Formats: sequence, C-alpha cells, structure tokens
Amino acid sequence: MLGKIVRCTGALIIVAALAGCGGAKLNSMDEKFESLYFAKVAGTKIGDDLNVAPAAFGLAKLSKEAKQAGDKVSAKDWRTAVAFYRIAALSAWQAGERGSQQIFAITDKGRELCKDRLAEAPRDCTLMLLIAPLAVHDELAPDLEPINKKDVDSIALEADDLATLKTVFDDVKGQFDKVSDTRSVTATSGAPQTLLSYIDRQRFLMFCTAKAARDLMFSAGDVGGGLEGDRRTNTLQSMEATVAKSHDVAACPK
Amino acid sequence: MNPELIVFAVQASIRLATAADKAFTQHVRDKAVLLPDVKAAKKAPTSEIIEVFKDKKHGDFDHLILNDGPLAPFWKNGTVNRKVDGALEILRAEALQIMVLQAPASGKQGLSDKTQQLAGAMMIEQWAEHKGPIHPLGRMVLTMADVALEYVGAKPSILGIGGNGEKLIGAFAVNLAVLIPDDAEKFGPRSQFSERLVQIVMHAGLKTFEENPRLIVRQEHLQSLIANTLPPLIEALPEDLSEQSKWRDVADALLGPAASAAIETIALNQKAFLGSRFAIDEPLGALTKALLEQAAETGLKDQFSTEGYIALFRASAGVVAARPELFLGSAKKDKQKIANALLSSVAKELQQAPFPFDGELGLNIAVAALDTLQANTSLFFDDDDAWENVSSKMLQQVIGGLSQWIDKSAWQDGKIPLSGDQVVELGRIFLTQVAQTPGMVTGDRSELKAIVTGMAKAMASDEKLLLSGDDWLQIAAVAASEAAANPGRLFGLDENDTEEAVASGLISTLLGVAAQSFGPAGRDGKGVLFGATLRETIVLSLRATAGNVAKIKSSEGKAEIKKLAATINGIVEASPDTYGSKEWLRLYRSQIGKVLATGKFDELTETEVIRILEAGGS
Repeated sequence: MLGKIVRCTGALIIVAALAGCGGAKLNSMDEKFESLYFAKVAGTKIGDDLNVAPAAFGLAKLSKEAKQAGDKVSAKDWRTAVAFYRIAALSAWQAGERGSQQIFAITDKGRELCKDRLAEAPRDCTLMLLIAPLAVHDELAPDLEPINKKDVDSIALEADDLATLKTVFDDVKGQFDKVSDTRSVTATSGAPQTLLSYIDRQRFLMFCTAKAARDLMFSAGDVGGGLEGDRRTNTLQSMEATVAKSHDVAACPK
Repeated sequence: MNPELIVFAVQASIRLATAADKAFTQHVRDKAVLLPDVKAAKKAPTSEIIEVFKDKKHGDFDHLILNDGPLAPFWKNGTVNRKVDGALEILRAEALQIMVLQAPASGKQGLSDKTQQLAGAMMIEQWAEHKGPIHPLGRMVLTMADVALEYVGAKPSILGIGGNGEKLIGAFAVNLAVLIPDDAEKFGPRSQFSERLVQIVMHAGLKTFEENPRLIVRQEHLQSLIANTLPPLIEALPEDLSEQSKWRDVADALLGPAASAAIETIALNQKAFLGSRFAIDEPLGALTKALLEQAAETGLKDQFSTEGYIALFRASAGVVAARPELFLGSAKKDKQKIANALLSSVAKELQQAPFPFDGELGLNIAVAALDTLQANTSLFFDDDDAWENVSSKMLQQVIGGLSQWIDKSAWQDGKIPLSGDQVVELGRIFLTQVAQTPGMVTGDRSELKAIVTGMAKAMASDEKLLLSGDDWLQIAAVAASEAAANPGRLFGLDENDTEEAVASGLISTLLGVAAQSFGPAGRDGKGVLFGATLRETIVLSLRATAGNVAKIKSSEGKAEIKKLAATINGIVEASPDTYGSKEWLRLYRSQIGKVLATGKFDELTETEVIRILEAGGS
C-alpha cells in the first residue's frame, strides 16, 4: 500500500518536474543571452547593421520570454523570478531600441520583489537597480558621435551641438549618480567583489562619456560654453575623484 | 497501515523528488553570469589638449600657450584656434608628450587590459566568497538530514542511539567523500544524480528498518554496501542527456526497492559474515548496478514491472548471499561482469521467449530458476562451466518445453487449465528436480527440456480438460521425479529426440480413454475416469512404467493399456451401484504390472474382478 502510494506520488512528481524545470529554463535562457550578446558584439565589429539586427531581434524576443517566465514564478519563487527579470532586463538593454522601452517595466517588477531583501540575492537585486541607468547611458552616448566627427574634421560646432552636449553631460551625470547610489547599497549586501568592480568599471566608462561631452563643449566655446563649461568642469572633477579610486582616468576609450 | 505513515511517505517523496530540482535552480540562479559594459563615448579629439592646457592636470603650461609662448598661435579663447591649420594636431602632440613625461605610474585600472576591452563584459557571481549557498558536502548532509527528519517525526525511535537508522546515517557519513563527485562544486549532472541517489537509498533504508524493526545489521556492512553501490552508479551516469534521463528513471523506480532488498539480504544473512571470509555487500553493489543497467536497456515498462525487476534482484541477491565468493571474480571476470551476466543472461532469455513467457510469467519462472540455483549452489558450480549462466539455461529449457503447450492462442482462449501461478509452480517442480540432478542441464545437455516438452505434449492432449491445474501439478511432480531417477525411460534424453516420449504416449492414451468414457453423456454416463481418479491412474502408470518401458513403447503396447483402461471403465460403468473410483483404481493397479511385464492384457472375468476387489488393498 505504502509502496504504491510512494510510486504513484513519484510518477506525479516526475510529470510535475518535467512541466516545471525552472532551473533548466533559467539555464537555457542564460546561455541564450550569452550567445546572442556575443553574436551582437561580433556583428558590431563587422560594422554592418545587417549583422547586428538578428541578434538584437533575438535579444528583444528573449527579453519578453524571460519576463513572462519571471511573472509566472514570481508568486512562488521570488529569487528565480528576479533571475528571470535579470535576463529580461539585460536582453532588453542589449537589444537597443528594440528592447529599451521594456527595461523600466521589467526592473520595476524586480525591484518590488527585492525590496528590503537585497542581501538575499545580492547580484540580481543590484542589477534591478543598475541596468536602467546603464541602458539610459547607452542611449545617450551615441549622440556624441556626430559631434565628435565634426570636431575631428575641424568643422565648427553649432548651437544645437552645444545643447546636445549639455544634455548628454547632465543626463550621464544623473545616471552616474544613480549607479553610485546603487554601489553604496550593494557594498554591504554580501555581493561579490567582482560585482563592485563591475559597477566601478561602468562608472568609469560613464565618466569617460561625460568627459568627452565636456571636452567637446570647449570646442564649441565660440557658441557659448562659457560659465556653464566651467560648472561642468567642476562636476566632472567630482566624478573623476570618484572613479579615480579604481581606474586610471586618462585611460578612456579612444 | 498507519495513516500518519502514509501522509509522511507522500510528503517525503515530494520533498525528495523536488530537492534536486531546487538545488539545481539555486545553482543556475547563483552561477556567474555575463554582464556587458556600457558603450562609452569616444574621447573628444581635444581631450588631451584640454587635460594638459586647460585642466592643468600635469602642471602649469600656460607659458607655452599664452602671450609669446611657442604654442600661443594655436590657442585662442581657452581652446584650440581652429583657424590655424594644423593647430589641433600640434597641440595634441605637445599635450601627449607632456602627459608621457609627467604622468606617474598610477597602478590603477584602465581599459588597457586587452582582455577586458575585447570582452566588453564581465562574469559576475551572485554571492561574495563564503557568503553564498552551502558547499557540496553541506548540501549532501542537509539532504540526509531532510530525509531523516521525516522519519524522526513519524517514528522517533528509529534514529535512537544504536538504532538501525543511526547506523545507516553513520554509514552514509563515512562514505560522504566518495559520494561527492568531481563536478559537485558546479552542481554538475553527476553531483545532482549523487544527491538524488543518496536520498533514494537513505529513504529506502529507513523505510526498511521502520517496517522491519527486528532486523539486525552492523554499520560496517551498510557502509560497505553504500560504498560498493552508489559510487559505481554515479560514475556510470552517461554523458548523453537522453541516456541520463533513462538512467535517472530506472534509479528512481528501482534503486529504492533494490536497496531495501539488499539491506534485508545483509540483515538476514548475518551468519554468513561470521562464518565466511567473504562479505556479501560488495557483490550486492555490483548486482544493483547490473539491475539498473539491464532496466535501462530493456525499459521500465516494456517487458517487466518494477515488482518483477525487484523479484529478479531479490532472487539474485539470494544467490549472492549463498555463495558470495563466486562474485568476487577473477582475473578473467570481474565481479561486475559476473553480476551483469547473471541478470542479463536471464533477461535475454525472457526477451526471446514467446508469449506469454516474455513478461511477468517468464520472469517468475526465472526467479524460481534463481531460487533453485541459490538453494543448491554447490551442485551447480563447476570450475569449467560459467555458473552464472546456469539459471538462464534452466529457464530456457523450461520455457522452451512449456511453450510447446502454452502458446498465445491457447493461453488467451483459456484452453490451459493452469493459472499463471500454477504455470510458475509447474516450472518450479521441474527445476526442483534439476536441483537434485544437476547433470540434466550441465554442459550441452537438454534433458530438462525433453522432460518439460514431453509433459507439455501430454497436457496438450487433455482437450476436454478432464484434469484440473492442481491435478497436473501432482502428475508433473511424479513425472519429473521418476524421470530424474530413471534417465531416458519416460522421456528422451535430448530435446531433439523425435520419438514420442513413453510418458507422453501413456498419458495421452489414458486421456483418450477417459475422454471416450466421459463423452457426450458427461457425468450421466456413470464413468469415473476423470479428476482425482484419472490423476491417480496416470500417477500409478508413471511410477510403474518408469523402470519398465520395453513393452509399451510400441503402439501395440499402448493399445493394450488402452484396452485395460477401457475394460475397467466398462466394468465400473455397468455396475454403478457396486463399483466406483476406488474399485477402478484397485483393478487398474492389479493389472498394470502384468501388462508392462508381458505387453498383453488378458480380459478380466467377473470372478476375477470379484476376487481382486475382495482381496482389498489400496
């Protein structure tokens, strides 16, 4: 009798386990994210949008699937749900314009689940705070490219260019501050040192973007950098003081 | 059955089956994941110029760009004078030179690390060192504690000091190192499988002790059983995912009951340990692996049920307990090969057997064959013969013989008067005789098959089902016994012997007479040659004929037997008020000897009949 019950229960459990398999799904989505990310990086290096588009499309699709998977388990296993949201947010970020609109919806859910329990999933909960500012930065940084090109070609910058530079600088600084706030919280959460290094690195790269914007502003001095340029120089110096603890500030990407 | 136990068994099963999935999910959740870098903007072309001349990071170089400084023509209003050709390039070159000359070694990170630049990403774990989930060792201990806790709740005494439960946990604890595979840190497939196996075996062990509180077992034997059972199973986990799935399924279904059977075998054979240099726990481990491998190959449902597999395992474990030293192997054959051969040779026979012997029925006969081997080990073990194949050889001969009678249509149409259990019992009857006369199956001999075939043919001639299953079992017991004692008389010595066996002919003849007497009129015909009377007549005939077959081998001889039976039938049927079954048998007994001696039956006069019956006797 007992044996039969155990066997029957075992059979039901196997069926249930096959239907569920949260770990296996998470694992496969993690792997999929990595392969799509590397496909995108490879496509970017070739420099042809045709090579980037399929990967970006795949990342946007993965983001949706991961979010759905997170929604499905959020009531019974919040840690696994946040892990799914992590994949969803990272994919949305890396999908660029195809996915960025979804980032806040995803990270808001993750932040809600992580509320008051950052230390119970330190990396994934940190990422719920971190990914949105990083994604916003990535939307801002490309705005500098055409202005940079003009400056390289010694084409005089215009008032619109200066306005763009100011916006990029100020907005990147805003995201930089958010990342710094997140770092303060994460530092005491039991997160690995590698995560703190990662955050430092992102701050350094954001500083580089801000610095590039500020430097370009000097080239636009003719159209009124003036005092505003000086104010931003002070701001940049405070950013530099922060990132200089971990990085050589002269080593921004060329 | 205690309802509490049922509830707890269900709960424990659920926890056991989901534990591995939970642990795997945790592992995936916390493993290092790839985090990309933001895409920093490129440096402004004036970056170094501003750093040196505007921000003055490397000292004050105003004397170069202001007033009459050498670079003054290229600097205007705090930035590069774009109106002068080459101003940007000249100032940049000067700024870079100053930076190189002035910059101290910072020792800090930049993006100069090529690896970082190429990857543009980092792999980050969930947890800081020592703050994350528990070590594999701890995970295994928790797994054990989880199972044990369930039992403590249901029956606290099982884990009491000196109790069997404590010994079992101790046995696992001693073996923890060998139970944790190399991929445990990464929670790889072997690690997951290992934890699952520990759960299954521990659960099975505690359940066994709970259900059999009187079992006495020493921890060292449990230790040895675990060490010899689980690591080889973990090691054998295939690489291929679909094969892994199969391997897991058979472990889920069979390992628990097999472990239970193994523990019981050890506990019930304590004496063997005392008197023998050979432990049985080592070959039991090999046997467990052989069982799972066989089940993975055959399938869990395709041929046998779980109960069937475990019955086969128990019977094989019995052989191990009887002669453990035979499983220790040699240079030519290691213990695993012997265990595999014992089980696989039997399974192979059953796979090739015709319906209905290709399933549980055949398997139960196989168990009987293994029981025979176990009960008579010393008789079957010959240095020159592969003893592990003896049971499959016996099985092949019994099934081969019985299938002459019991085929698919006869079985499905209900033309066989024997139930499944009776068929198994019939097989056991023949096997018991083999045990007493092992020469019937050693080497290339097929005498057993000749006997079973002969009996099967005889049974097939009972078209009117005048005999019950029990009657046939009694007849078969006598036939087998007489055949074993008198080789080559009642039945041939070889399965290829084309001549009809004497016993088959004799039984068919008597059945023919009985069928005639028990014709359309049935019981109204006043005949008595059916059921117990017919059975006793056949038994009498077989016993009498066993050593005296010369005169009835021929068709004439059989005709005389027929005449004898028909005559007695006539006498009894003519005087139903005076003669019955007892008289029939007395008359037959008085005449059969003469017929066998002379090959002739002389008609019985009325006076003679009266004299025989008045003389009495049984």
